[in-house]
Amino acid sequence: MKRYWRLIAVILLVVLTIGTFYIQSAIAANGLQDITVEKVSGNEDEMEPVTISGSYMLGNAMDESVQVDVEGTTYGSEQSFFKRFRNGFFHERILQLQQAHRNFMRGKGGSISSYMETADTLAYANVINQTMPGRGEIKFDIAVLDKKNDETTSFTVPVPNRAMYAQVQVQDVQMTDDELHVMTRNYPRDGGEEAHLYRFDIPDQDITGDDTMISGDIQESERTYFNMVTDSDETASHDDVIFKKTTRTSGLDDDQNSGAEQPAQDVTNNYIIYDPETEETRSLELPESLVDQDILDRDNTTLYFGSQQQIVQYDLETEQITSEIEVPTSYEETEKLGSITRIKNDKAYMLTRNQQAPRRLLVLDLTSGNTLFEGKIKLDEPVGQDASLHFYELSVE
Amino acid sequence: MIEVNDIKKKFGRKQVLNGVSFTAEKGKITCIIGINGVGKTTIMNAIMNLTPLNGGQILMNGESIGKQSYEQITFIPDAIIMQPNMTIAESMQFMTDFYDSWNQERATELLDFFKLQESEKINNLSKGNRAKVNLLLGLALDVDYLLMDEPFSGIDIFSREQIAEVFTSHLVEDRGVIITTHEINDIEHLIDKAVLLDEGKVLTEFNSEEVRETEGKSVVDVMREVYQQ
Amino acid sequence: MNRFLKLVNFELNRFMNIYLVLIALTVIVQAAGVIVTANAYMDKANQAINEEMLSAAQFIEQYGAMSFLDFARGLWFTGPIAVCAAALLFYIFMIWYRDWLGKNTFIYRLLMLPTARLNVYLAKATSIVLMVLGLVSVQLIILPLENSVLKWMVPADFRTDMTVGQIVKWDYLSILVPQSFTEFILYYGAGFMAVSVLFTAILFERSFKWKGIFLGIGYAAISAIIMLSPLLATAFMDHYYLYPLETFGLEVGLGLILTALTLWMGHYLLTKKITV
Repeated sequence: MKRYWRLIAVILLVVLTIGTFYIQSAIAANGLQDITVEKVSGNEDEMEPVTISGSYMLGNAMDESVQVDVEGTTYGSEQSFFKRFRNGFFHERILQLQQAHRNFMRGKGGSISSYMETADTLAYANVINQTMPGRGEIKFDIAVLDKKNDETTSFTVPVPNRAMYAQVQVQDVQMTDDELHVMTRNYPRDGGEEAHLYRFDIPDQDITGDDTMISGDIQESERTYFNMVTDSDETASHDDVIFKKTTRTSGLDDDQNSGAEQPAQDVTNNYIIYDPETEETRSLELPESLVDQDILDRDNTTLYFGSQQQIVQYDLETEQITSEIEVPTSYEETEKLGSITRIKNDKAYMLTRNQQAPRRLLVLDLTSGNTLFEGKIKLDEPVGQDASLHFYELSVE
Repeated sequence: MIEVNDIKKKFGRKQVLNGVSFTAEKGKITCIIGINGVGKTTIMNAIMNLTPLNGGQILMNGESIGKQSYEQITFIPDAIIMQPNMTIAESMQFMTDFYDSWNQERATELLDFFKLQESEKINNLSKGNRAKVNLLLGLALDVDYLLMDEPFSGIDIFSREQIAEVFTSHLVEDRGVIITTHEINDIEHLIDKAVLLDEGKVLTEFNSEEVRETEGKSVVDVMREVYQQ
Repeated sequence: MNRFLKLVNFELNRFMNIYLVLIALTVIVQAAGVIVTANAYMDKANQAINEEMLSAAQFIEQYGAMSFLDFARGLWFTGPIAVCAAALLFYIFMIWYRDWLGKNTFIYRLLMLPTARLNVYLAKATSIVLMVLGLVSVQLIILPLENSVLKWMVPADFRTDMTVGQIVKWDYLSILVPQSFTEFILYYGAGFMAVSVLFTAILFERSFKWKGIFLGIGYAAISAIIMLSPLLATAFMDHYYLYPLETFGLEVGLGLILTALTLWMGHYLLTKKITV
């Protein structure tokens, strides 16, 4: 045996070291923080549907994804390889759809805005062939699942005037009866931006319309941007499309001023609403107090505006403010990052993201204005000098 | 018995062996004679399955050569085939490890016979001594057949005599030997059978003893006749 | 002990001197590196505090606290790893060619051993994998030691501590030491496959000389295309119909088939086509 010491030594070295390493990393604490939501007041059951996602960074090199829910903290590295592998490629909502409709979802990519789900329909639209150059024409990839009889209609159609666009991004998908609406943001090759609505006849499997809803413009002294006002549940169904249009007018571009402070800019916001049925665009006449506030969320009937102090609900049909709710003063939002707010089931779920102050999670009843739950994000120990904990997503089941 | 049947081998466009056939028997010394480059080494390699053939077949006791054959047949090329940084003792250990047919007693005997030091590194040996180590490593295997490729080439006269002596000793007796050479003189009196090769073919194959007795010719005489035609 | 293990032991012996040098190089250079890096950081800190009148907190705010990764990113740490990787990559070729090169053609002996020639092939592949894993193990052993040296040299206020588990998640270390044992098996299984493809390519060259170079390169290229085919499918097809775990299963299946095919091809070349 003595002559084989090298073989034995190398095998022992490998088996013992690597074995110990993996056994130890399986049983020992991984040095990662246990993050919990500590109740300050209210009913803890309100936490049930909430999942907070974030990342824990250490020494600006280690990046560990983390999820906090009522069950506790889960770090990415704590999941099994297979789970990480299955989940790593898709948005969580898409994963849910994949589980529920395994066959329909096969071969479908895109982001979550490519999907729309109602009780009896699941619709999908994406623009394919535009990431790889030389892959042939860019086209719409359309599929609609009729949940009741489990029938799928799918087809592809070239994007109209495709040569004009450098890129076409799907922003939302909606459906009325047999007509599928695909809202896109198109980037023409000669600059600017356009919001399009493409109509598809599902039984005929063809494209039936291409409306330009709004377009952005960049001129010397005036720049116009638009952003679609989206629902935090991107698969939800809406009757109309809302845009926030921002116009920046810069003062005189005097060369002598360059090097000094930026010329003062005038920023005006207004909201445009597009009705696919009538193909009409109109401006939303918002009360002065709301125009410059941030939109927290929307659903089919209501826009939710918010600030540090209050949440304002604005009814789209009556064009009236329907309620104003005060946010408790303990919920302080003193940061650049802003907070995350999700509206669901007539409740507002709010999370502050300031790293310095203890972060708070708040659940408000939007009808009564009562605070249903208030929690404080609690860490085992404060994050270290070079470490940081960011939350970037608040999802409500 | 080793049967070489109609073997053919090409290197590029050059037909090195063009239907060579002969047999070698156990207990006899068969000598393959030919000028350099005639394909003698290729025949050896082919018998040991160290080079693919373009045709023909080689059988040992009626079967083709496989991994188990290497306990029954061994090859002693003219270059040393051990790790040069090993000592003689380590080389012998290597053979013990891998060959069931290794005969340590005979190895020790050969070591004495060749007056080699076990602790010497192969690298540091003279050419003659390296050839001896090579012979030792082959001869100490209890195999039925021994293949030797040019065992005398480039070796001093004293080593040659010593090596030649081996052939008449009990170390070789009973085994079948196939030996290649282009210098027949050293072993002319030892060989039982001569196979003369030229241009990829066997020119003639004869029993040297018979020729000596019946025609009174030596192997060299026959060679002269054959090659000068 | 069977002939295969004897062969593995033999192959390890043949490279042991260089291998020990590689280990020594890694240990010495990294040990020196951690000391030099920590010293340099502390010198900078002392200078800033003494000359620029910064407080320790201000210094950290400006330059950041020292973490193990500051050392791991530097050449002191990555250099030896790169040298070891290059040496073993080179040896994948040399483990075969050394048997053919020079006056002493050891390949005669190896091919005339009374054992399946595939054992020679597998023993060489196994020793390569063992040597890679050995170096990874050495790195795993010295990591906590280096981590301790760092803690010992840099005061707590100036550093961000990391566990070995956190360190190995960084960049290429996470490939050498995968996160879970499942991945470990997958990565090194893939490594074994790659080594066997290279071996078979080398045997193509050894069997068919000039023509063999093209055959060998062709074999390696086809292997790569087979393994990348799911990825190519995503790039060249309108729809890619497989779910990630299905693709994963497909890759594992392809890998196993390709490895089996490669070993069979190696066996075939060694028994039927090889020339000494």
